[in-house]
Amino acid sequence: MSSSYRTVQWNAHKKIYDLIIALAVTGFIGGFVVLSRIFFPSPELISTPILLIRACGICAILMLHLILIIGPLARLTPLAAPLLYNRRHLGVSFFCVALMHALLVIGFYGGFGVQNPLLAVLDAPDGSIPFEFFGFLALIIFALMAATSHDFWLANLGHAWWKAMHMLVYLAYILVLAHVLFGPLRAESNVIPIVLVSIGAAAVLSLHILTGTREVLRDFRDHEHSTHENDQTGWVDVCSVDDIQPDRAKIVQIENHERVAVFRHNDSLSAITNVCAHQGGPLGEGKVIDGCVTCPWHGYQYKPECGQSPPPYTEKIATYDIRVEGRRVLINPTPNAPGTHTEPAAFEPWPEDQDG
Amino acid sequence: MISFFIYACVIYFLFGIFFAVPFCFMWLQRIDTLAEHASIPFRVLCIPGAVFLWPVLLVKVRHA
Repeated sequence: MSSSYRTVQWNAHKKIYDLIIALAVTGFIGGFVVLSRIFFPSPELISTPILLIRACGICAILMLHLILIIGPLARLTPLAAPLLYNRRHLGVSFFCVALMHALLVIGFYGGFGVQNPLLAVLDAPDGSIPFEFFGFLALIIFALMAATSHDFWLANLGHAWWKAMHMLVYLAYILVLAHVLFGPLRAESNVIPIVLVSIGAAAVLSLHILTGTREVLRDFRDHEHSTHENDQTGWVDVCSVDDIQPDRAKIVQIENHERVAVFRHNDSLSAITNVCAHQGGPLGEGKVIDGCVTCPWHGYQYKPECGQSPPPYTEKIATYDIRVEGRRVLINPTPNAPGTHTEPAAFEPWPEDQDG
Repeated sequence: MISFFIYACVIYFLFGIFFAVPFCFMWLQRIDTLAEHASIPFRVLCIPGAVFLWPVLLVKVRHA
């Protein structure tokens, strides 16, 4: 959350996360080179720079797959939420490894001639597929994403533009697949690397399709089964009080409106938009911590009754007027301006709730 | 064709560098008041992004 910008938003958890990334990357690259040298001891067969190029390339591809599956995985299981929490640092680390791979390639394959090393690598012979160029284009996209990963860019480009720009990762992923399939794997007689890349691509694709289908079905089910009946005042009956667990929310889709998260906290209900002001995270999948709704993606917090981040932070989200009639929860579907205070709707908990 | 693309990139990024350095050290707070007391490391961190997005930032600074 922002009251001013910090260079790197580290906390104790993120430092551990980053340490694990650094150890895993150095361990993988070091292990790959050492094991390869054990199995292929002769430097004339395969030199150390080539081993490093391959190690960085494989490491980068593994990291890219992990980055791409974290999002859908976190929608399927809360166990993946800690990975999502610091995905940005994983992304920047991935770019550093991919850049290292590119620099090694340019230095090793293009650095010993009279031509510009970059052009020497990218200029493919006539008739051949320019797989190096695919990799170069992907690297530019990854560089753009890493360079604009700070919240400063998110705030100043706007959420929609920033998100659209970072969706280019899927184009870059296709370019990386083309780079690998038309490059090192084209001449590969062993089928195992091709199978592994195919499994990775299938995992990325199937997880995205699975979570996307799940979202569509959930919207459809909510629409079919809810009693979204407007009363005479235009308010909408969205659910029962008993549908909502303490300090949790129920996400409701009001027809022709965006999703609303109805949070239950201290035997009263508050309704806010389901979209986090930071990166559009699903607030309704988070919980109330220290009296604040906490986004499951990056931990941004908002007071449920007014949609404002606790001081000194300045983020605001839209709130909705809410009331309880009997055990039914009614919402005014017109959102209030971000940060508008709304009176929480108190209700009588069941005796067993009070016991619990 | 690839050579042309590379040279176009080089020119674009050169313009970006010429813009990004003064932008990050002098004009950052003009488009975002939260950056008013930003540290030097933060401003340095913004330089690569400004090199990429200099046309957008140029418009923003002119209208700020």
